[in-house]
Amino acid sequence: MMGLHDIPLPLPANEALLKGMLVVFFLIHIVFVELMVGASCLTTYFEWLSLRKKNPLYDRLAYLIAKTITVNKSMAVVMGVGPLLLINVTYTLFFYSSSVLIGDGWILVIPIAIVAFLLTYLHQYGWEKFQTYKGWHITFSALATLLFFILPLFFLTNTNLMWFPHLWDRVQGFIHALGHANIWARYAFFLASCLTTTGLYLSWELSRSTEFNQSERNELGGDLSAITFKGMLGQLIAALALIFTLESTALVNSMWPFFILASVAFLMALYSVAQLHRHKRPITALHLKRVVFLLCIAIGCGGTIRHQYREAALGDIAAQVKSNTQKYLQATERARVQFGEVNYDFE
Amino acid sequence: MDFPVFHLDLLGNRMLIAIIAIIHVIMSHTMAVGGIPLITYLEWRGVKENDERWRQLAFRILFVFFIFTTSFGAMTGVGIWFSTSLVNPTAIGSLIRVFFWAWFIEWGAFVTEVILILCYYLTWKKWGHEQKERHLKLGIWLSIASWITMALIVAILSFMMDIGSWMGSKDFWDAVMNPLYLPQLAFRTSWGMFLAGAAAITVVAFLKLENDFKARALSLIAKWMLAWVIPVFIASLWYWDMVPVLMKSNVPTALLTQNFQHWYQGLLRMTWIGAGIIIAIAGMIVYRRGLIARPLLILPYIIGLCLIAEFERVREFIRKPYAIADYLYANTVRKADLPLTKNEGVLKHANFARVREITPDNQIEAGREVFKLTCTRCHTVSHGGINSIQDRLRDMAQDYPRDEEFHANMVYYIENIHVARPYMPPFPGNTLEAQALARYLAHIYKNPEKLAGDQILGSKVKRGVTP
Repeated sequence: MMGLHDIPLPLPANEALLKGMLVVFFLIHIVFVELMVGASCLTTYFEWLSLRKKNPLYDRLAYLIAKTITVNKSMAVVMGVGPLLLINVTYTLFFYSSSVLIGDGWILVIPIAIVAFLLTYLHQYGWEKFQTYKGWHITFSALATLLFFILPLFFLTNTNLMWFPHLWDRVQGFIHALGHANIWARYAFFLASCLTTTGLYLSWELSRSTEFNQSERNELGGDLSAITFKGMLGQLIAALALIFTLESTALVNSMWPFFILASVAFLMALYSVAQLHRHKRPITALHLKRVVFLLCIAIGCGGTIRHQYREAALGDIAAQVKSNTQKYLQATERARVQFGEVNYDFE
Repeated sequence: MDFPVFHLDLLGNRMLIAIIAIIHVIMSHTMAVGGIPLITYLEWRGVKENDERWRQLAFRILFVFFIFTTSFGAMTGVGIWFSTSLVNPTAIGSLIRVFFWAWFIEWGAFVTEVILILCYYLTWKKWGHEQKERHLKLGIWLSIASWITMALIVAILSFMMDIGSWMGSKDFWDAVMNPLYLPQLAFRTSWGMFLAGAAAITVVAFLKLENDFKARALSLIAKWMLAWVIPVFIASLWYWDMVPVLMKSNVPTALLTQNFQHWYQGLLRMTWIGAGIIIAIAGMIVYRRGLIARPLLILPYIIGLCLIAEFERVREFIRKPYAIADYLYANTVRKADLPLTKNEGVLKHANFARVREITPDNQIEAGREVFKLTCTRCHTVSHGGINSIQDRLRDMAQDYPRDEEFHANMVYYIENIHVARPYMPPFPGNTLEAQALARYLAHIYKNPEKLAGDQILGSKVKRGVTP
């Protein structure tokens, strides 16, 4: 039994409300993160494709994608503050402990993100100046993408470690904590999600862009539906790996309805995108609404399952911590009565 | 005591927070809180005079501010959370419990601020001539959102220095309306406005503009700076007047370090001279209509950055020995926990510790653990580390050449450290732990070593039930 106690101050609001807010705001945050990472990856890819195939159409698409990153990366950061605040307050002991245990890696998030953002700006705002130095230009974007690919590992490792306090005695730093198989399955799922979300978003962005004619939109739209399809297929494979690497102790029966609903909605969305991909057609507004609706159901269920998993993993220990905190407060009060208040001020 | 111990043995934990926080304050104060109103003012000038050059200038300054605030500014803001949650999770965790809703509203203001700055920046060229006034309103709203974001955070910063009547009531509004809130807010607002001018002049110094217009622009921005001199001065006096007397006694050490505190008066003079130089250069720019050398144009901002760093260092230091005034010591021990830990020991009650009991065989190991739990928030161990304990010991050990003499004096010193150094928290452990700590200190004096934090070596979770 663990003898951990929490900070002896009450939660500022109803615990269920705080946790509900955490789930909702986290999902909003993660959509923007996926758009940021996915767009960085795809702008690099299309700019490189343009150079390789000597087709300027891809270069124009790459520029269209690059312009979306400024907004999406800023939104990803700002929308991440809310969930960070909520996870700080609801899982204080668990989140801070895991953060400290991977501290060297955790603090690297800040400089890595700053460098990635600056590279992104250099890539976007240097588009015209670097036209004659395409190799350099693509390198900036590729480096930014690489950094964006590294960043999720810190978050995944931290949240994974906070769920399992029994690992805290064994962990010796960030690299060591990365060894948990579940992290890599979740990482693969996240990267595939980035392609899916960005593919869908860019399909919408392309459909309303005035910078391309109809035939160009059809051609590029077909490419984007292929990317979306591959992303969804990747998610499906990663999800299977994820299930096999989850800690069985944290799997509870109440997850099943959400799991079934998420699977049905996701497979329906996948079928819809697969049809378009097979005929090399773009994802039109009508399809987009349907697919996004189905994916929202799947994401909502996924978020709920994730929360159930977290609660199940921490359930007993969280109850112990609450009880220990009360006992700790009583012990400090007893000591104060027995030994007297210790006041060193103004000596 | 409630969390594993993150420790950087060369840079020091406080320096990690300081670097991140100072960069953030520079960005937020000079390029957002003060910067956006200045840019909006320049844009208004362009609309009023129907002179497109003012708008172009405002946009070019905005471009620089936008790049810096949305990269360094935004991420160092998050970085303050990251670093404080590593270095003193008990402090930030407690503050979040008290100020959750203030922080939540601040998040709303931050979201609004980011959306507005994206709109303000991205619509600058898209919105045509007929929408200039609409765009101007966007700038005004953005200025307000930037200020609100800071206004909410200042409540927390000032609470850390003076909790006012919160301890008795535990009421949210008592925490927000602490005695230092309004003076500090007034100071930061006026200071941000003043230095925004210095930041903008630095940008303009590097822009290629028509000579005549550049002179007018520099002169106008310098006048903006001079207009804020008196508010800065009044707010500074008000702020200083409200700082508790005991905190003021820490200022000589806070301005430099304990080794150099006798230079206090000299540094204080340099601070005034620095502020004077900024004002003098602003005056010169107005008087000579901007016709001064580029190095002189950027000097006010460089001095301003140094002053920001100095002010933040002083603010952080003078609240010692507390992290949260009268509630939580800088070493993460709550004041209310002292009766328990002084009698039963910190090792017994810490959530994470590799040693739980002290025996004759594990004195040094236990002492190392006590040091890690109670001293590392401020001290490093390695020679040459910031506030290195080995370097401190070198001075002290010369007075006590014999080991036992050193040990006995060290135990006495540890148990009365808060008297010798009023900015240091009282030692929170019991006598056995003080003795083990003294053994460890004597050991590292003779056998220099480095100390790794739990982020490298891991830790041991407390087992069993709290008695």
